[in-house]
Amino acid sequence: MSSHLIIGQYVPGHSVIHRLDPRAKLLIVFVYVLIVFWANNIPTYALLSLFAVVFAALSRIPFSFIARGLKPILWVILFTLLLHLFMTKEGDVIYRIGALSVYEGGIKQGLFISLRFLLLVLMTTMLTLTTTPIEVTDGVESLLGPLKKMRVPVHELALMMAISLRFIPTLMEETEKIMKAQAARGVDFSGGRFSERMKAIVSLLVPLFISSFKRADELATAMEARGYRGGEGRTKFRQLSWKAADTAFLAAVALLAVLLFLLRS
Amino acid sequence: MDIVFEKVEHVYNARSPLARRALYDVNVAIRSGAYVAIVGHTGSGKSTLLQHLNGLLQPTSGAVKIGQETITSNKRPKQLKPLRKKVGIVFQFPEHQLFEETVEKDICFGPLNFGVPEEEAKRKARELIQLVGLSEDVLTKSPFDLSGGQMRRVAIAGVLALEPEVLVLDEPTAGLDPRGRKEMMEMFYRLHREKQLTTVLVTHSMEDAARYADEIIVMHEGTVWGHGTPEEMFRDADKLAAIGLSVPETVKLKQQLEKRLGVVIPSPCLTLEQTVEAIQQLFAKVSAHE
Amino acid sequence: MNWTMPFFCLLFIGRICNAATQGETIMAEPILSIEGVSFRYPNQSDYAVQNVSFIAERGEWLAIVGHNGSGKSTIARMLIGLLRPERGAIRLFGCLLDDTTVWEVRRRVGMVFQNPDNQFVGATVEDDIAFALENNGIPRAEMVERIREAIRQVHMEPFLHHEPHRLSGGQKQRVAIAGILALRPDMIILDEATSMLDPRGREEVLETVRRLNCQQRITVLSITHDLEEAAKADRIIVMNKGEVMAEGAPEHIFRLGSKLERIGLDLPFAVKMGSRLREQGIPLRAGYFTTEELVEELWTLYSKK
Repeated sequence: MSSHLIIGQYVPGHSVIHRLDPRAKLLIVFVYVLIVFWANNIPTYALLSLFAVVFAALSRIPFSFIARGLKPILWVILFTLLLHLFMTKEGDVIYRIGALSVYEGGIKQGLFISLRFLLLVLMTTMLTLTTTPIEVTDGVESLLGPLKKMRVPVHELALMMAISLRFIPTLMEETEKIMKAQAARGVDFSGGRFSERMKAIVSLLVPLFISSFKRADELATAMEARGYRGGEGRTKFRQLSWKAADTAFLAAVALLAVLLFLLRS
Repeated sequence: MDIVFEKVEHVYNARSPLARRALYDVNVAIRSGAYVAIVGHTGSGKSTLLQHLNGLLQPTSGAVKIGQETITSNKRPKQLKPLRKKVGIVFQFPEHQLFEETVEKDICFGPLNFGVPEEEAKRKARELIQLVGLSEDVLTKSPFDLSGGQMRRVAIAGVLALEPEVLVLDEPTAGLDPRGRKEMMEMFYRLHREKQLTTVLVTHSMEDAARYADEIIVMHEGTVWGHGTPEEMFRDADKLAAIGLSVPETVKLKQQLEKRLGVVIPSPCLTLEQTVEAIQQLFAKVSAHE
Repeated sequence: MNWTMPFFCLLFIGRICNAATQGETIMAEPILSIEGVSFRYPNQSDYAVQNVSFIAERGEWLAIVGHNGSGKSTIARMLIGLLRPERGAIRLFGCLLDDTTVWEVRRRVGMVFQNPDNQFVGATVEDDIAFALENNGIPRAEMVERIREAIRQVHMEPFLHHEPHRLSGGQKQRVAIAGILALRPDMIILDEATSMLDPRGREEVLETVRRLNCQQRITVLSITHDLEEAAKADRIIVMNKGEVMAEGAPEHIFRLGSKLERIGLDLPFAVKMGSRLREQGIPLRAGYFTTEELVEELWTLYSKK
């Protein structure tokens, strides 16, 4: 029953961001994550924020969804802010509480680092919110394609990833079933002494592993029966198509990189 | 131990966009010592209903009374453990719950969880392994070295080891071959009588429902569609057909014969034996008239 | 539709012509023949399958029945080269099954397995149907066409973009069948494909396969322990302890009566009923199938009295 929620990161939609080639999105996020670390003054941070906000707005995903994705890391950001506030001793003293002093540099540093963190998470969340896991897999496979020449098993890795994604809901369901069966035999999954908890976990994990191995075995047999013999000579049903919009967005992030490089102090 | 459902409703993922009502307005009583079959399509609410029988799920509204305990949406007994000991559930494909190194340990797992002393649990394991039709030397083996059918029997012994008063069976014969199916159903029927259990069987087999059950509960689209003796429930084949369910083959034969021959067969024809006898009598009567 | 269409039309015509000229040889030869096949699992002294021989004609529905562990699934696995016989030979389409022909055989013979979940590879229905096409290097444009055709044949069009966990067991099995159909197979093997389904799912799957068998003359080999299901086959092979115990048309096989029950099988209801009534001295003819036929027979006897 809860299986819908787990991969439920993806919010279906038809916005320009949704329709971007997953390779473009992966590259944009990758470049963005790198250049976030270049920013070190107000203009650069402003530019980065502008880009991220426009990107998020274009996705047409309700703000509440995005906020929900950011919630878990809020306390990390708060902690970073406080840490920098009290530990950085640069510039003038702004405020003093007992032995602790807050410096001007501290405020600036704290805000910048927190903002950096927020932007990083925002952009990566945008990727998962607008791209299905299978599209991400396709994108990764395609981008890593050149590595095939170096005998990196790119196709196999991508297939493994795709199959794992496909089986997540199945395994979630299975987990729920086994937990219920063991609960009916008196296992308490919610509490108890340490030794009892260990026993409870073992009674869940052993059957789960055994059934997963059995599934893997049967799946391998079925794949072989359906003519699977590795990546060679295979055609692909899922096609990625690079469009003008993809080039435009990639150009935009390149421009952002150039501006950042010029404006950083 | 009587079980009473009062206006039970169950909504999965309540108060979320994914909310789905699986049960509503369920009012049904299962009396102590009865053998009750629950039939209905996949998705009719059968398995949601059965998970209410030992508090694995609690109703989102209404109340489930199990013996002295009452489970409601906001209030439920702090300790569900005693209830879970009294109501044993054999889930579909119960062999998927095995995990211990030996069969003996796996059968003892439940009783030990409920604080039964180890010696007694072991004694029980020896007794139960024979009851489910396996020999005692299986006890020292790993459950994963057994055949599928044997594993299922071990898993069932693991539930019986709790010495429940109510035994709930969720399609216990799924995936078995005809002989295995028959042996297993006969075993449960024997246990039902010998241990004076209350038995609740969830099944797709109308034949099994007709043969073993005292009462049948028909579930349809999340609520109780009908409840009565097999004879009552199978009287109207057309009504059952309207919700996509059928009557047992024997009843089908009886009804077709009555129509074709223009006679009334007094026997309910719930089992093969009954039906053979009824047809025999029909022909004997004709001979007697001559 | 696009520039490739004429090309495919030509290919298609080529196929038909090819089939027409080969027609005679195909008809003369059984689609499948198994000669003296034996098999033992590693580290086992007993044979799982021993000296088994049989044939399947093109277009027929052949049922292999037996209790769990009678060796029937082992045979299925050998037919598409998942297991290799210790002795004996398997011929499909007139060719000996070996390392050089196994991939061609897997293209022409599709297998539906028991567990609906553990054969679903794709993230969605269409991805799953595409899987075998991808493996066989079918060009993308043709894939789309074939997927559309296959999904239509199993009546699953509305579910093309559904993920597997949103489908019922019967629907998943129908997707598995579509995946096979997309390869335009000559034969479908059902390896207990309905044993984990509810009655509705079972009927869905059997109905689909029956239609394919009738309309497209796809050969069906169904491996099952359900004699009710086997009753609708053209021919039945009964397996017991790794050997062929009996072979013949359903009415012939059902005359074995209690012999079948002794090896753990359950006779179809009407057959069982008929033999019980005969035992009780009601002079019924031997070998009925359906309840309707039994009713007719009883009516005849009843009105004669």
